[in-house]
Parts: sequence; structure tokens; C-alpha cells
Amino acid sequence: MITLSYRRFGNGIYISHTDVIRSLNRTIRRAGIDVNYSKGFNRHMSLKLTQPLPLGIASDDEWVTADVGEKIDKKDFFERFKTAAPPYIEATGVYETEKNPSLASKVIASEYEIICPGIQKFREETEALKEGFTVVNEKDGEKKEKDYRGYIYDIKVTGDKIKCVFSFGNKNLRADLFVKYINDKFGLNIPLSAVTRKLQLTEEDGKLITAKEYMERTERNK
Amino acid sequence: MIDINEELLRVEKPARYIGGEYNTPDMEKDCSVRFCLCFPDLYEVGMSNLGIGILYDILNKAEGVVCERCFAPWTDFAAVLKEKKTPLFSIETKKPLKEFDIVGFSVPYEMSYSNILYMLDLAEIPFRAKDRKEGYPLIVGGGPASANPEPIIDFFDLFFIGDGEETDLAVARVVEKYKGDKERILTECAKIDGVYVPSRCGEKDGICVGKVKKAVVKNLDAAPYPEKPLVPNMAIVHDRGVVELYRGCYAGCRFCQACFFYRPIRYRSKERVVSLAEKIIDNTGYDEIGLTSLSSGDYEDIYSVLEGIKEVSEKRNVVFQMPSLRLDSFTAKLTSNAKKSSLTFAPEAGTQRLRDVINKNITETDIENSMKLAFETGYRTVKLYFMLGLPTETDEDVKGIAETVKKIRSIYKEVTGKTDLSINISTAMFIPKPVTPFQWAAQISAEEMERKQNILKAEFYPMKGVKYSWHGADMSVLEGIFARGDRKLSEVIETAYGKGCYFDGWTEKFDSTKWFEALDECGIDISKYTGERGLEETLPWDFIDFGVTKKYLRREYEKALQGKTTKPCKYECNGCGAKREGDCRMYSGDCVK
Repeated sequence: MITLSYRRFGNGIYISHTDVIRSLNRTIRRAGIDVNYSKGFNRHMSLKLTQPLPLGIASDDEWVTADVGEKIDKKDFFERFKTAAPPYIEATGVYETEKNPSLASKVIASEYEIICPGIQKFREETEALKEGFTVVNEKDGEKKEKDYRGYIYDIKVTGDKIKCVFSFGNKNLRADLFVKYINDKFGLNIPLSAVTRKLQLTEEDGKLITAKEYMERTERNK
Repeated sequence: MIDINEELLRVEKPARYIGGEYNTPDMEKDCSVRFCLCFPDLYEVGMSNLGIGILYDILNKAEGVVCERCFAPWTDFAAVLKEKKTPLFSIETKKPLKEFDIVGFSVPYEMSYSNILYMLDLAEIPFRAKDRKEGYPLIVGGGPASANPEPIIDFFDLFFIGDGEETDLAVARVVEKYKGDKERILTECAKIDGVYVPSRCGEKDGICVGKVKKAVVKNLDAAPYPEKPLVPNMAIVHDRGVVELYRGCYAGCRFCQACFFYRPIRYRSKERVVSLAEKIIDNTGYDEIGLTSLSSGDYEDIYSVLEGIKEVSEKRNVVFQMPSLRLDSFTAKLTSNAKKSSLTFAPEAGTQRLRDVINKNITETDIENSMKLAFETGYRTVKLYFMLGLPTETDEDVKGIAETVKKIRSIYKEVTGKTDLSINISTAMFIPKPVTPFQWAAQISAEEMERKQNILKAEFYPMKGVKYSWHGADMSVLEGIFARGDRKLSEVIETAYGKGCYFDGWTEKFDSTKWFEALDECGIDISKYTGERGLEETLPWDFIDFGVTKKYLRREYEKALQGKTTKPCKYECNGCGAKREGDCRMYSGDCVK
């Protein structure tokens, strides 16, 4: 198994998750990398990605695992992928493991950076949201309240930036929802393109560690 | 450069507007001519158009020329452009269309005419050529609509007739040489074969009296073909690599415009086709590759091509989309491992009599044998295409469609012992098209179309596993009007656009009432356009020399009315006239000179 970390930026923020998967498939085929295929009726490349990002948000920390068997050395994989990638995807790291590292199920949180001129004025109120907030959603004429207490690991305001860590996966607080909330609450106009996912995080011994640290350890223990 | 990035998140599928696809050519190179290739439909439709891909490749490889693209934006993005007072722009460098030297529309079919105005409107470019003084780009057109560009010709400075591979670049060179002198540009372009400059042709009773020769690429094997096509960033209609096998068609079905318009028959060699397939897969990473032509099964050495592509695609874990072929033991072998999703068959008419009239050389036995083999090979779903309203059609012929379906169901039961066959039947309405033997024939009325569709609905209603879909009557009538239309119709298009008609090919946007109001307001007598034309009448497209002669088309029309067929011209030339335009390839490699 080879796992690649990559950045998705520029025009990549306008491309949906399913189209990104298609694009990764094509990159790997262009790179001439021999990846194993599923055995089913509709055979497809065996690729595993972490959870999707909403449209409009860039990421410095995306992950994809390819089932390559013994066929290719990880450095070779990395170099070939880099050359064949579209302009909005940049490979940043590569790891080789014996088994599927199952990053999709391991990742439980994401760290985001939001560039937000004028947020200093609301610093205390913003950081206080760490304790949770409620959002009212209306669906089919019925109003439902959703409480996000326990979904937020951290929110810090430094200069013009908000750094926040939200749970991700089964218990999910989407960054776009948070941006909408603070825009409404403080009368701001932060666009989604101001948000970047900086890190994906997993848990070890009750502590959050980055996906990169997790992959380094898994690779060492292979 | 226009910056509209923030707005993109407000619209559906923003990837339609961003550009930057893999294999995008160098947009920064030194250039003296900037060409914007436009398609009057959405990105996912236009990006599936092979003509756009070929011309984009040729123009961008040419020294001193940069070619960009623009597709019709969906209504949400158009609203953003209007709100931001931003003119329509190219997707590569976000340059407003009105700042290009040439803006070229590839016009795929009649119902896209209003979208040309929609795009010009968004681009802040006057619709009519006479209203565009110096300073505006040269507005040019081409594509399948060039069989009869008259209904839209007032909107264009010039129109490409026939193959665009050589003429588009030739016009770009004229623009390069005489930049800033539109009159001189038009005069010089009128001298190029395959370029129709309306302002340089005379006119009598609204019909062009000049003579324009269709452009023909004589050697298709040597013609440029995109080996590194753009790889879209989102799913498109035909999301795969495509190799054009050959141009033209032997069959001679009398309703088919493409068959006669794209003659003479020119091949790409097997070696070139397989090599292109290999290069396209390697350069794009597509997981599917396919062939395109009017009838791939009629390519002389088709099985050797199929085996060649199958070999290169299997090596790379790429799916080879087999073309629709007449099913025989050889194709059955080739597809033995393939997914048996559905088999497509186009008998076009329900009785042998009518199939003879339209010269669809398929017999009852052909249909029965193909179906038997298909069911033995494992197919459980069949798609059947028919046409309604064909010349000389009776209710017996319409009911014959249902009889054919019943026969197919019984063959399935005979072969498999089961009754779970799924049959999807689709009927299109016959539309008399220019450059076909049926160009003189009448089109039936909308009421008659609906009556015939109702006969079939009643026939199919009790049949289990049969799904029937049909083409709308109003849209078919409009297509018929514009297909054989003249210059008077430009006013109708402009009036209909003013009423809010655009994206007319999209059912949710199509509003026939507005179109018929526009026809009425412009004083158009519909029956004059849809009715039978006199054999001696001068037709609006008669000024174009298509290669295939009017005399031959007339002979074929007369044979049709007598129920006589003409053999496909694989072994013997039928004398259609196309050979005057270059070598016409027959079987055994012989060419009619």
C-alpha cells in the first residue's frame, strides 16, 4: 500500500470530491503506475481517500491510499505522480505500509485556518464558541436545532486569522457551516475561499496527532 | 483578466467555468491572433464535441495563434455576469469575448440557434453582422449547421462550410495579415474554399446567388488529430478518449444528412487509429476509449482495428467502448468478456416496405439473427431506435414497429426460456434535412406526430418490460422549419430570444408557445417551410457545392417514392458526385477518382 499526501488548491476548490477522485485515477494512469483494481462487475482502481471537503475550501493535507502490491517503489510513485498531476493537486509526502492504514476511519478531526480581516474585534466572542453553539436548520418547513457542543476542540484568533479544530468524520462540524455562523453572528463577509484545511488529525493515547505523524509511525512499524 | 472567483461558489458546477484542464496549451505564447472557440451549450456538452477538440488543437499548435474556449453558461452563472456587469469571457485567460480577434461558434443543431444570441448578448456584442463596425471581433460559424447556415447567417461575418481543419487556420492567417481592416479581411476570406462570406455574395429573393465550395480534408490519415486532448475537471457527456475512424458513410440512408454531407469517404489507417488510441490513453489517463464515425461496422478492416485497440486498452486496464456493430459471430467473440449492459439497434422503420423507402438496408432476417445471437451471448436489454413521419408512412408501418418488438420478445423467450427482457424504444420524428434525398419531402404536422405516437403508446402499454420514449412534436416542427429555413428566420430567432427563448434543447427551458408567437409575429407561414418542396425550386442551400449533386439526390428521392433501394457504395460507386471533392474510399482500398 502506498499513501500519498497532497495539497488541493487554486482551481481545485471548485472541483467536487467525485471529480477529484476521477482526477486522481487519471493522474495515476497517466503516470503509468500499476495499481490493483477491484474484482467486481464494474472494475475500478483501488483508491481510498479521506473524508470529502466542501466545495470552496482549499486543503494542505489531503490523503489517498493506493493498493499497489509490490509493484512500485514509493519514491518512484511520488515522482511519477508529481509529474502527471493536474495543476491544482501537488503531492507533498509518500508512505509505504503493508496494510491499508485506514485513514478515512482514523481521522477524527481537522484543523482549519480562516483568513478573516476584522476578526480581532470579535476575538473573545469567537474563541468562546469553543464551548459550542447551536444552529437552526429549516427543512421541509420544519425548524430543527442542532447543537454543536462537543464538536469543537479548539478556536484561536491570532491577528487576522482564526485557527480552529473541529471534529470530522461520523461526528462532523463542517468549516463552511462555521463560517456561515460567524458571518451571520458578527455581520462579516468571509468567503469560503478564505478557509484552508491545514491538517487532518487522528487520536493516539487520548491525544490528537496529525495524519502525517500517524503515517510515519505506521510506516516504521510495518 | 476578469476575476469572478468568489462568485463561482454561488453557482451550480463551478468547474464548468474555471479552465486549467490537464493538457491545456501554452496561453502565454507570442501571438498575433487570438481566437475564441465557442459552443452554444454547456461545458459538459461542448467538451464532448470532437470538432471543438480538433480545431482547438490545430489553432493552438499554429505559430502566432492562441485559441481559447467559451461555452454557454447556465442561467445561474449568466445571472451573476449580469449582476456584476461582467461581459462573457473565455475560460482560459478570462478575457472578454469582445476583445478577441475572432470569435467562432461551432453550431451543432437547429435548437442551439438561440444560444448563439444568448452568448453574444452576454458578451455585449451586437447580434447582426451589419451592426458590428470596426473594433468588434470577426464572428464566424461552422459545424453541422453549415449544411444550411441561411437562418442564422445574418449573425455571422462568415461561415465555414464543411471540414474546418484547414479553413479555420487559413482565416486566422488572413486576420493576422489584415488586422484592423475588416472589409479587406472579408474580401480575402471569400477567396478561400469552404468559406462563405454573405456580404460578398449576391442575393435574390432572400437566397444567396454565389457559389461556395464545401471544404474537404483530402487525406484524413495525414490530417492533424489531438493526441493530447484536454482532460476535463468534471464529468462530461462523453467522458472518454475518442478516435475518429473515418469520415463519410457508405450506407446512403435517405433521411440522413451526415451521410451525404460528410462524403467523400476518407479513412484513417488502422495503424494510425490504434496509435492514436494508445497516445490518447497515455496522455489523458482516461479509463475509457472509444471510436467515432457514422457507421463503424462499415469500416473495411474494423475487426483488426478492434483487436488492435482491445490489446492496447487491456494492457492499461482501460475499458474499450465497442462501437455499435452489426452483431455476428466475430463481434460476439470480441465482446464475450465485455459487460453485457445493453444492445442498441436502429431499424428506423417498422416494415420492410418503409425500410426500402428510406434505404435502410436491414432485413427482417438481419434483425432476427442479430437478436438471436445477442440473447445467446447474454444480452438482457435492447435499445431500439425508430423514426416516425417518414415519407409514404402509413399506420400499418407505425404498427409494424410494435410487431417488430413482439417478434423480438418471442425470440428472447425462445432462446432463454424467460420473459424478463427489457426493451427501450425511442422514436424520433422525421425531419427533412438539406443535402439528403428527402430534402424535398414534407414534414407531418404536430397533430399527426402525436397521433402516431399515441398509436404506439397504446400498442406498448400492455407489453411488460417495454419502455417507450418519444421526441416532442413541437420541437420537431421547429427543427423542421429551421433545418430548411432561409434568411427570413433570423428575425424569428431574434424575436424568440427577446421573449426569453434560449437553451431550447433543454426540455426544462424549452417553451414552444414563445417560438410559435415569434413565428406569427414575423409573419412566417409555417407550412411553406415544413411542406413539400418542388423539385425545380431553388432551395436556400443550393449555392453550396457539397460534392454530392442535387441530380443524384433527386434520383434517390424518386427511387424512394418507388420503394427501390440503392446498395451501399462499398463495392461499386453509385455516382453521388462526392468523388469530385477528393478520393472516395471503397472496399479493397480502391478509391474512386
